[in-house]
Amino acid sequence: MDRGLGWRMLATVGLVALVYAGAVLPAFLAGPVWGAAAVAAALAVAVCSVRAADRLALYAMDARLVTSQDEPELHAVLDRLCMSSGLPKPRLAVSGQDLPNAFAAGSGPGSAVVCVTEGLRARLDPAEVAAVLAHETAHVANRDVLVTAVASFPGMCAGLFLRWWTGLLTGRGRRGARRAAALVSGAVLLPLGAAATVLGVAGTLTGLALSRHRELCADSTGALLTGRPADLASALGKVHAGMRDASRGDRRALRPVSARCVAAAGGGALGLLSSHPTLERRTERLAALSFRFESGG
Amino acid sequence: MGFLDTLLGRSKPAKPDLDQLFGLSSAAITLEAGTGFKPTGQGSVCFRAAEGGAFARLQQDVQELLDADEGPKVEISTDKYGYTWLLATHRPEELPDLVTDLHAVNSTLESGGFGPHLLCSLAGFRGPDGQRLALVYLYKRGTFYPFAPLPGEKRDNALELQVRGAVGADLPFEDDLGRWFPVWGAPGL
Repeated sequence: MDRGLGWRMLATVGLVALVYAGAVLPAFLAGPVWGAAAVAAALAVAVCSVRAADRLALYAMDARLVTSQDEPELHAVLDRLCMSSGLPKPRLAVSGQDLPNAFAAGSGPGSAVVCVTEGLRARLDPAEVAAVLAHETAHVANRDVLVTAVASFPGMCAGLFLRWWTGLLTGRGRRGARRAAALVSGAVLLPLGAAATVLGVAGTLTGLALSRHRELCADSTGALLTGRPADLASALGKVHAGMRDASRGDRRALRPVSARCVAAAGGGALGLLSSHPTLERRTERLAALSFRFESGG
Repeated sequence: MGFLDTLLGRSKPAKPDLDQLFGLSSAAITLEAGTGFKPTGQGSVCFRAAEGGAFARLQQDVQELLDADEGPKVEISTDKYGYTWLLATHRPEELPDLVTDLHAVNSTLESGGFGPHLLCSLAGFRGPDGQRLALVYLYKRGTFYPFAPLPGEKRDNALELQVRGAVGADLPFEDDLGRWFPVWGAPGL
C-alpha cells in the first residue's frame, strides 16, 4: 500500500474517532459514570450490529450459502485465492439477483461471507469473477466490514434521532394537547437536535470518505493477490455498465448492501457523497499496478 | 494482525519458510514404512502467472534452469482457473532431486518478487493398490497436508488422516483441516 493512502486513511480514522468523541462527550457532562456508560453502550451496540450484519445482508440480498458440492467452480476459485493469500476460507453465498455485483459481510476472517450475484456470473468471464472475488477477499483480510460499520454507526444513530425529533416538531400523527406537548419537548431538545445534525453530517461524510479509501486498498490488495490488475479493471467496467443499465427498481433492491458492493451506482456531487471512488480513479490506479508488473514486480 | 494494521486496512504476510520442503525426502521414507505409499518421482508447483513481461521472462528462466540437467523436460500447463502448473519428473528413487527442483522453482519466483503468486507445491505418491496421494506444501503457510482423490471428485478422508498420523511428526502439518484445499486434476498427482 502506498504511503499517501496510509496517511489519508489515518486522518479519516482520526475524524471518525472525533465523531465518536462528539457523540459521547455530552454524557460526560452528566458525570464520569454516565460518560463511561455511554462509551460502553456505543461500543456494545456497534459490535452487535456488526455481528448480526452478515445475516441481515444475506437476507436482504436473497442470497443463500453454497457448499463445494453446489458450486464446485466458484469454490475452486476461492480455494486458490485463499491458498495464495494464506487467509482462512470465507463462506460463499450466491444471490439470485440479476444485477452484476458482489459483496463481503461478516466482521473478520473467521466469520466472513463473500457473496456474488447470478448477474455477475452471467456477465463476467471466469478470470474477472476471480478478480472480483479477490477484491472481496481483500476486504475480509483488511476487516473492512467491521471498520466501516464502526465508522458509519454514529452517523446512523444521529439520523435515527433526527427523524424522531423532527417528528416531534411537526407533530405528525398527534392532535390537540399531545401535539402541543410534543412541540414543547421538541423545542426543549433543540440543542440535542442541533448536535445530532452536526454529528450526522460529519459522521456520514467521514464514513463515506473512509469507505472510499478502503475500496482503493481492496482494489490494490486484490489485484496483487491475483497478479492481474487488468482483470479487475475490466470486471469493474462491466459491473459499472451493468449497474448503469439496470432499472431503478433493481438498483433499489441492492441498496441495503450497496456500500459493501464491489461497485456502487452513481455517487453525487463532487463524489463526497459516494461510498466508492469513481471508476476512472480506480482504473487509473489499477493501470499503474499493471505498469509495475510489466516493468518487473 | 495488529490494531494499527486493522485501522489502516493492510494485512501482514506470514514469513514463508521454503526449507521445509527438504523435509519431504525423510518424510517419504517414513510414509513408505508406515503406509506402503511410494513416491512416483513426479511433482509440481502451482502459481498464478502475473501479467506483464517481467513474469514471463522469469518463468522462462525457471524452465531453462530445470531443463539444464539430463532427463525428462519440465512440462508447463494451465488449468481452467488460469493457474500455471510446472511439472517436474524424475525417477521414483530420486526424490531428493525432485525436491531440489521444487525448491528451485519456489525460491526463484520468490526472489523475483512473485512469492505472493505461489500457491502450492506437491509431490505424488502411489499406494500398494494404486491409490493416488499427494503431499501438498502451502507456500503461504509453510505447512503440508495430504490430498487423496478418489474417482468422481471425492476425497479419501480416512487415508488423508492416516497419512497425517504416519508423517505428521516429520513435517510441519497444517492444523486447520479447512485449509486442506482440494487440488483436483493437479499434474504430478
